[in-house]
Amino acid sequence: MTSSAKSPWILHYNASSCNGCDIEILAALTPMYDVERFGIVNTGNPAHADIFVVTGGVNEQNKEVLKNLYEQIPAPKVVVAVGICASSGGVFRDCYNVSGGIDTVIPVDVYVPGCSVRPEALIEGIVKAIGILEEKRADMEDKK
Amino acid sequence: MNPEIEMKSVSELVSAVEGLKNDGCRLVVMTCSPAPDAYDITYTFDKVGNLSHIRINAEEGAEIPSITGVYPGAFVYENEIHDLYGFTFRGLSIDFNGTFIRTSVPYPFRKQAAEPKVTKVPKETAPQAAVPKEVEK
Amino acid sequence: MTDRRTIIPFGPQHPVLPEPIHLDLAVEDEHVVEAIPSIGYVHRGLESLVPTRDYQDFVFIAERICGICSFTHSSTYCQGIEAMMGVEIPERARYLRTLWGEYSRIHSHLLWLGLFADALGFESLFYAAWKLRESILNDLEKTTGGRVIQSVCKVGGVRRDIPEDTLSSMAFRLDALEDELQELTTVFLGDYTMKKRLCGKGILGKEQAYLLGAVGPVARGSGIPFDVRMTDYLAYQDIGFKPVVSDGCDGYARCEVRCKELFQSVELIRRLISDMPEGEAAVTVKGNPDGEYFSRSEQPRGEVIHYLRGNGTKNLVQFRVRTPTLTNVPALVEMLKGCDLADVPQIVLTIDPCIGCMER
Repeated sequence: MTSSAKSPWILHYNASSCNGCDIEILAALTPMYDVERFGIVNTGNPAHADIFVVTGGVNEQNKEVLKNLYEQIPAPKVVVAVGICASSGGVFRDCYNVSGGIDTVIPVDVYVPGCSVRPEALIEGIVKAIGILEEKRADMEDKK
Repeated sequence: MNPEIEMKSVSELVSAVEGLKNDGCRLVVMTCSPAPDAYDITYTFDKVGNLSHIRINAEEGAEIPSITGVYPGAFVYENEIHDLYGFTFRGLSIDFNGTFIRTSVPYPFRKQAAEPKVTKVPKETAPQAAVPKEVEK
Repeated sequence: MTDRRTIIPFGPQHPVLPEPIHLDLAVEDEHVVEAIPSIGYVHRGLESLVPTRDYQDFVFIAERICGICSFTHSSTYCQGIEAMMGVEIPERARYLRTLWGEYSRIHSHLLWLGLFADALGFESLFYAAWKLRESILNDLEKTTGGRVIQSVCKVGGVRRDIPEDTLSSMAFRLDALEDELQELTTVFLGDYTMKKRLCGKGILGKEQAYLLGAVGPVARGSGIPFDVRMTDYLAYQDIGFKPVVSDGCDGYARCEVRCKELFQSVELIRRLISDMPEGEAAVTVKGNPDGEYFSRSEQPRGEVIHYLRGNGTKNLVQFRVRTPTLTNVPALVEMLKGCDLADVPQIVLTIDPCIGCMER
């Protein structure tokens, strides 16, 4: 296990979500669920992040921001789509301004469904993401 | 149970709103809604917990006098109505020129809005492929 | 003078903001001269969904306007439809809606206190506030089945009833919570750092607040004694209500209003539990809504308006929401004028911005 898998830093971005999933992400960081015991730290800076946690169905104005943030995260990086809106658009799929799922804009590695997502499900998703992060790092090192 | 709404013409709008302001009313909201003929723009006010409404009728794309001179806080509603319905407000104090709410289609709440240009995920993600093909007997 | 003016962009992705909002700050040296908000990052256009959804199903979409004020959105929507159709909901449903509404208010205010402490870098206080919030969420989950999206309101009443023994255990837990809240709010209102960052920052005078249409704790922190709960809706008239008002007109006053409202909500819930009427929790609703209605209620952030228009079919013709954050934006712009650049994040937070609500 490499150091980044022992302490992955996450960057959270709200891409047109209703807040429900966002506050559950924050709730997962606070004492009740306490993901910091796995070394997971929430950061506001994309250049520090390993795991990109995105909520919401992405609207027209968010697309560029989302792409920018994704490009600013150094490789290896893992994207987690949190909530049903981020996975497929959810109830807002038919809205004219929602593109329906963040995989229409950036590649996604882990989908965590739920409306709103439960902190337990979210933690499982992040743990899966850590596994993928580890694989991606190994791939990068093989190519060197 | 319908609310009591006072109809006004566009020309008497600003003076009516001024009257309400002098009466001590607070601007609650401006609502635009498609009516059978053209559009209704309803101004809602509150005074000690009681709502009162005035309404004007406007054709699509019409120019309406802004009430930001009376209630400066109205700029959010007027910009929003401009961005979603395409009305122009004359004398708007802070004019965003259509960048307050940026949408994928211009004026999406108009009666006949253009088709969205956002890329949608295909609705049916190949459900047929899951069913194995029956061999003809 | 003008050549010293610089424009600094703030957001949409910013460490203190859980949600995206963008501000263009015109600064002269370290002083903000003007702030121009630009929104639309969370605009989904969900009001355009009404023609395609049944009015009874739309409750779920109305609830998802925002994940923090979710319960109040669904109850305001249902209240509007019921008023249009002339449906009288049972007494017990009215009390239950009020009860859950107050629970969401405590959860929302604790959430805000936590986020605010986090924005100041006071991380242990953030954790303390959110730890208390979990006990509220547990009770919400136990009685409704959902933590943040409850989906418990329906046209004609509520989907679930709360058994008597659960109600009394909830009242029991409130006593313990009240002591902990006391301890928490003492820090918010008495701590030196907090006062330093809040007192005299983000000033909004009473007349200005009224003229700009500020609502909720922003208005009450500027000395305007207005709260929709004073009008006749849900069970507030039965149990008695007096708004919490502070005359400070600054960030500290707004924080104080929210802290005091926590205790007020606890008290209201106690009265609701002791006066809870017997009976059914819902009535069957037949027919379709016709006409128009402005439905309003008090959210944790202030007054919300749902405008509904029906034409006698099962789909509404028009749905429009005016949320408290949108109407507090002009007030925010006013507060930011003349402040220091370093104070911008917490002044933005003192209006308790809920962008999901604001842009729908």
